[in-house]
Amino acid sequence: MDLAMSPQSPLWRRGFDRLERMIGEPLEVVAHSDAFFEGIARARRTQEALEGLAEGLSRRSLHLFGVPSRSEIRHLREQLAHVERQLRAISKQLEAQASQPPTTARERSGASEQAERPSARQPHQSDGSSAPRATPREPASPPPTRSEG
Amino acid sequence: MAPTLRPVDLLARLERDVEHNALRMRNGISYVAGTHRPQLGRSPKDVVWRRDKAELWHYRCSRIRYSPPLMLVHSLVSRSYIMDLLPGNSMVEFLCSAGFDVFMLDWGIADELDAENTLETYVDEYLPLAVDAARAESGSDELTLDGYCLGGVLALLYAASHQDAPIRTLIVMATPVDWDHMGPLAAAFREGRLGTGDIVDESGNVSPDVIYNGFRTISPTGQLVQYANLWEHLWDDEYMQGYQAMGQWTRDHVPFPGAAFEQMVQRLIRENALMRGTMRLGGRPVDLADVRVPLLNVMAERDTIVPLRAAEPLTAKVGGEADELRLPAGHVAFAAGRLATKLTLPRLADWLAAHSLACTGKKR
Repeated sequence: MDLAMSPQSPLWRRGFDRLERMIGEPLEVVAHSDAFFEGIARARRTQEALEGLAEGLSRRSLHLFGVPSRSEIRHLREQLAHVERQLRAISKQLEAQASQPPTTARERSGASEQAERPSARQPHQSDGSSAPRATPREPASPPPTRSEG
Repeated sequence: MAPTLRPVDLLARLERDVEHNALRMRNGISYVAGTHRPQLGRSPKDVVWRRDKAELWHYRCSRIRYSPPLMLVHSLVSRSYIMDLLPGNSMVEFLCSAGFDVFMLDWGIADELDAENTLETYVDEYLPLAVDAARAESGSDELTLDGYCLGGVLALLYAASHQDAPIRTLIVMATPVDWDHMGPLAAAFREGRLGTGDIVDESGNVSPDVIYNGFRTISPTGQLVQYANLWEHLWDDEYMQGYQAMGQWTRDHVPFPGAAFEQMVQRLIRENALMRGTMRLGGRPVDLADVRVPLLNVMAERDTIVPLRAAEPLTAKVGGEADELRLPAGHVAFAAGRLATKLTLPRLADWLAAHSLACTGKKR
């Protein structure tokens, strides 16, 4: 009991803190070591390999019952995400176009001449990074509208 | 040697311990049963802008005394309700009552669809649009940006790479710029012991579990210490409410979009590009020296996630006036907890007020 101890911290707590440091410090050394992170990477790769093996074994039996395997569902989800991303990009381009003021045929022809020149404000992506998506401020490449033509 | 106690003092302490144990039992039961979980992030607000999963929230601050409005920019890996934890323990509530018009940019919860979101997506697309939306909503020409952790990095990149950005002042809290001092986890990526392929899952993102466990490796016995704190203060209703709220937040991470994560590892961790001045975004160079608006760099001395040495070089790196606020605390003392209410937020509000214009009793 903490009856005779300092009012700030009970006896059990001071004992706990001492014990925690005794255990915690060596654990921190281990958890921050090269071997620990290499172990995590290795465990992750092993887990993936085992999952792949299990998947290969279970796929055929799942197909017998007309059930898709995990990797097939994952593949479908990836495809769906890809399609949704494309839809997202197209809707942003349309939105950007809709927010631009209507232009005359002469301005459009001037704009198309300018578009052929390299832009000073939006440099070419030279570092291999992904280009920012089209924004209402600077649409990357406005698609042709139905009204044109 | 322990001081001796008089019988009357001994009796008083016994009585207190009995009372505390009774309260411990009551609070312990409700904690385990989960019957008194606090409601988090409940300050009244309106969604004023939305794009993909990002949303801009405008809090209903009743009496706005300062201009321009303040826009909080949250991190990509955690939930933004840390800025609005509980009534009486909320950064948003404090700033509202201090007379500021507060917005929050929340990135939402990323999924497969957001796996290809890059830093450019956030800095060049979402942030400029959210800033425009906040200006339109508030009727102000400019804003103060306040970024927390990785949100601070995004705010810095935006301020540095958009010279025409309508920012009056910039606040960054627990924001790393020198990634060479970001601790053992960053070192593992830097030295190639961990690759992004080891971390990014099949959805293309870094899963919240990986983020949570990554933070746990910083202090492996941290959870035990939390349980000891819980037992020590289990009798205290106010402490319990804060403990449950913080506990929920620390376990509540969101997926980190894989493409942005790869950029973070390559450019920020491996190249330490912010420090070396070699950062590029969308193909153009980004230099912190181009941040010319007044800046407040808020750092915590006991922060184990963003150590002081990772955050403090920013003050000298920016090209404009820069002030520092150092707190004797950890990573979350910026926005929540007793220290935040007593020390961080009053000083933050003072700095903001000194860099703002007075409004004439504007009401919403």
